[in-house]
Amino acid sequence: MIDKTEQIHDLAEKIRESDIQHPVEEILQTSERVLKRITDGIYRQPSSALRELISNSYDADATKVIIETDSPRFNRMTIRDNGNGFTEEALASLICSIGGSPKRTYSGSSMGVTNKNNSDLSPGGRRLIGKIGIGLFAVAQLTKEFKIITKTKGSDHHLIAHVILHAHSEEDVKTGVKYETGKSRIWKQKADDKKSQGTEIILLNLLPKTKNELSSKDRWLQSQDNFILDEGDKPLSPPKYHIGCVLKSDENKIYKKPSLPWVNSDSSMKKFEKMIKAVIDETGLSAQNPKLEDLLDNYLKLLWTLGLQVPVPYIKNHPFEINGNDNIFVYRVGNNSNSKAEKIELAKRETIAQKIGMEAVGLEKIAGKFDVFVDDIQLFRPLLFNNEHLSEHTIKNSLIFVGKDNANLNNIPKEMRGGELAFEAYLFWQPKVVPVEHRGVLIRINNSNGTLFDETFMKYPISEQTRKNQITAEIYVHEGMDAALNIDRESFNYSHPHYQYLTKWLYNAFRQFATAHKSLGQAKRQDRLLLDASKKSNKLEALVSEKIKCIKSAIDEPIKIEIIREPCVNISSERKKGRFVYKADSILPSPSSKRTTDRKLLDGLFLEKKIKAIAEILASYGVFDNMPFESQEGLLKAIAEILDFEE
Amino acid sequence: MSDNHTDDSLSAEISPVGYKYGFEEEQPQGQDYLPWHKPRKQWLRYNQWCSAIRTIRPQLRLHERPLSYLSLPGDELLDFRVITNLCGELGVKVKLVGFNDCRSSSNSNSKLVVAKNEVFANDSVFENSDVHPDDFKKISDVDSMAYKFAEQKGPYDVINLDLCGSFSGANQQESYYKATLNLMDLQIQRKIEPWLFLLTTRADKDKVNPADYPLFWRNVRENVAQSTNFKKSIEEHFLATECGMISDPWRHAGQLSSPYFEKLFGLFLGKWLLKIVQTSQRWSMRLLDSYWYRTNHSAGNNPNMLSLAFLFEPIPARLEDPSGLVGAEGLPPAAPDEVSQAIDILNKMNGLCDIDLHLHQNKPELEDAIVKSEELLRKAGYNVASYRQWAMNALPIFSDQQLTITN
Repeated sequence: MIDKTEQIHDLAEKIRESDIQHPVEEILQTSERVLKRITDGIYRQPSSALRELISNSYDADATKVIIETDSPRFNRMTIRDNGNGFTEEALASLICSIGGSPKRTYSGSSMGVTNKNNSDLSPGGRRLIGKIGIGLFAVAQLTKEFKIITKTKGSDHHLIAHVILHAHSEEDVKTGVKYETGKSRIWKQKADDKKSQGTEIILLNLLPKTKNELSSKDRWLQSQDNFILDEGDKPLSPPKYHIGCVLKSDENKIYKKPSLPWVNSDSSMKKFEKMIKAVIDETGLSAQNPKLEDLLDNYLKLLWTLGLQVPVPYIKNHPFEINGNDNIFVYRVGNNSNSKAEKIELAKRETIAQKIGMEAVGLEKIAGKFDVFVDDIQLFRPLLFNNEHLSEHTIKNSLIFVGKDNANLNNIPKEMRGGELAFEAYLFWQPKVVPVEHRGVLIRINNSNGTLFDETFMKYPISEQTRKNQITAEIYVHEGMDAALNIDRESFNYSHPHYQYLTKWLYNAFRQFATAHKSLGQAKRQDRLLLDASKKSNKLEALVSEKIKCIKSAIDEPIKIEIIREPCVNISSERKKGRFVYKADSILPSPSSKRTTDRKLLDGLFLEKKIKAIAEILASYGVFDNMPFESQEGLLKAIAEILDFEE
Repeated sequence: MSDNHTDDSLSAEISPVGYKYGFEEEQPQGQDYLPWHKPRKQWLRYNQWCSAIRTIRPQLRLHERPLSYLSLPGDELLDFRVITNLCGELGVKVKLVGFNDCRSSSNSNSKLVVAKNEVFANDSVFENSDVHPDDFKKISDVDSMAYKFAEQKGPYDVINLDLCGSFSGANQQESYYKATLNLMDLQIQRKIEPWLFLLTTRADKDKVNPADYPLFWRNVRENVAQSTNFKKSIEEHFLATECGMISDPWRHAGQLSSPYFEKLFGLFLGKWLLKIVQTSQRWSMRLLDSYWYRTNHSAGNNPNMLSLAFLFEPIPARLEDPSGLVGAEGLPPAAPDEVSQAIDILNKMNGLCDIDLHLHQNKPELEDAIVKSEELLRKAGYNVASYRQWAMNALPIFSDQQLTITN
């Protein structure tokens, strides 16, 4: 068996000698590290493929990625970056060994793929997202044929590879035919500008499935009046915002004009910003919280999803850049099972990152600028942290619970530990999470995500549905977890110690949030009830004094009724002084077990006020004149019991 | 009942329609020299196109936004390269928008992709630059993908239709006329600053659709009736033939010999654009320095290719007092009327510079154009060792009579 390194070296040499008239042809080979069927496509959505390609650009230190399509026709798609580009060796390695990426290996540095001092970093020092080199072959989800045009800085030529992927056949396995993942043709082409660098991937002959998905074809078909539905089927309507669609019979013709949340003259950033605003503005227009599924077509949803997944900046601020001026209540969660969330006060311009020493913001700054554009629309993380949707709610401020941990895994044998684990996280509470797809927890590993929001909060076992629906959470993993990610980066290996630790940490953080939120809610509710009760008492007092004024016989000095609870007060002597004094238990119903809620407790308090008011009116009318105190007490108690009567 | 499928509908839409497995033959980069590689074309790129852009540049807010440039750049993006270079010199960014009628899997695509890769990597190039794989003429249909693309990327500071053939054509559904009209409509709706329409077109008689003649002539006949200057000038410079004056040139087009026909076609194109822009009442149009040259290099041939530069300018809002209480004195001058603009076009069309002859008589400029062409072609991947020889052989031959008339 020929040594793989030697094979890569030979191919690299052949590429060096090639030109357009003498290209090199090579069979694609998969590494034994991955299944050979990888190129059949392991991803479910077109966004997964684009996410992988964008991640590759990030790993290649690109500062800009441009994706172009001819939406809504989708006959073409290109992904262009200004990253480091492929050397002959790196390209040869890609072709000879799919899934045997030199990333995260020592050979990666000699190929210009990884950092000289640390194979977990890109040459420019970014933490690598990709690990085994199958990302590029995510394009198999979109097409079976593509071209790579790549150039490294200082090189006087481009490398061009034309790749065609095959479909796996069980027949070949049975008949013993050696399975080929695909084939490639590679050549060199002279470059004018030695300084330039970058990689462009052109997807050729996009699969009909891809085109249909990107153009939301099913949605359009089902919204047609003449579409035949089975009894009971509900026809889908096109989403509110969409890119339109072309005629099936003539793809050059627009059949439905787009309905977009932006106008053409908007800047790339403004377009994305307006899309977010359009979704948020739907809040309150119907009983349900806005859902991306209802509002956006597949293409716009793809932009949204990519914004959540790839390492682009937040549309406004990073959550750890929330400062005192934002009026958001900040709590810090602890890492022990008995920890309680502790409220943190921020000075006006002081950020969470500064106060608590969060690294995520700094690490993203170190990774540097990374701008991604899809058809003139710049992608951002579509998450906003403000006090929206709170006007109707008891709690008038959003809450953010932040925490960090360098996991202590010492009690796990080193061999079983899976390396170190370090992360930071937040749970952002607001009464309505918009859109609903943002409910849950999203785990970013090295600034990237493939799993989106998990609304079960990693299967949090306690029934807290209301609170779960009000939380958006992100966990920024700075170290570890890579090995807990499955090969498609869209699911986790639940048995990995890092995943298990993170789960426990999240449960603990959620518990701390729920406890703090409950007590905050209770305190806020009590404050509000007391305020309401005080307002009501003032009104009642005003009513009584108004009524008393109307009584002709009323004496100038209004009669004051006093209800006392202290047992030591001598009622008789007070009464002898001419005061209307009653013991609470002699005129009020005995405290009942039904007063369990705050509201009912306050009802009890208010009953006392009402009895006092009635007594003052009765006394002012002279009803109590010549009436013994015992009878007065009996009368008032009877009235109180009637007022308090409840079936 | 047989299990064999006679209907393949179940397997439809699994593979792209008409997909053929295998590698296509790639076209090598920089092989044969083509007509647009001639030195005169490079001279025009620099001295007509770039000069026109320099003219309008002070009136464009290019400190806030990129120069927006639409063209038909071909696979080598030669004009994109020159305009990018110019913008680099001017210190402004450029948004390059192209139409190129080639399928994504066609042979020429790798060539285009490498060219795009190189040009778009330039710091002066704005990120949303793009080349759309459609025929420009498809803009004729406002429901087309091509129109959508043009609309999305527009409006433009420069529209450059550098055609190998003629702007005139038989297909009324999809034509350069209709596509240009639709594009002008977008421009006039959305632009507030001056913009350029650069047009290179064949103008010989057999390249112009005879069905267009009466419509063209109707536009001009109005001016003949309105202005004696116009009438005098058109008769003197365009319609005088050896057989006497032609009263209705299109009815007797056969009598119009080269180069009268070509110049008239240029005038009519100018008039066509002017009439359109007049309907907006907000724009004026004038012809900047324009040129012509010949596609046939044999001795004695006249120019048959027009290279025209039209400048569209917004007409400033201007109030007048219709009651006459305030006289017109001291008010800003009114925009020139249609006839004046038409006369201007007519005079400039009459004075078109024959760029072949100009370079024949100005060797240093020819040499400069050759050097610049070599440089441009080298950037496009050509081995330019044989270029000078090719360029010299491709220079037109002038008859003594042609040289004498000029002298």
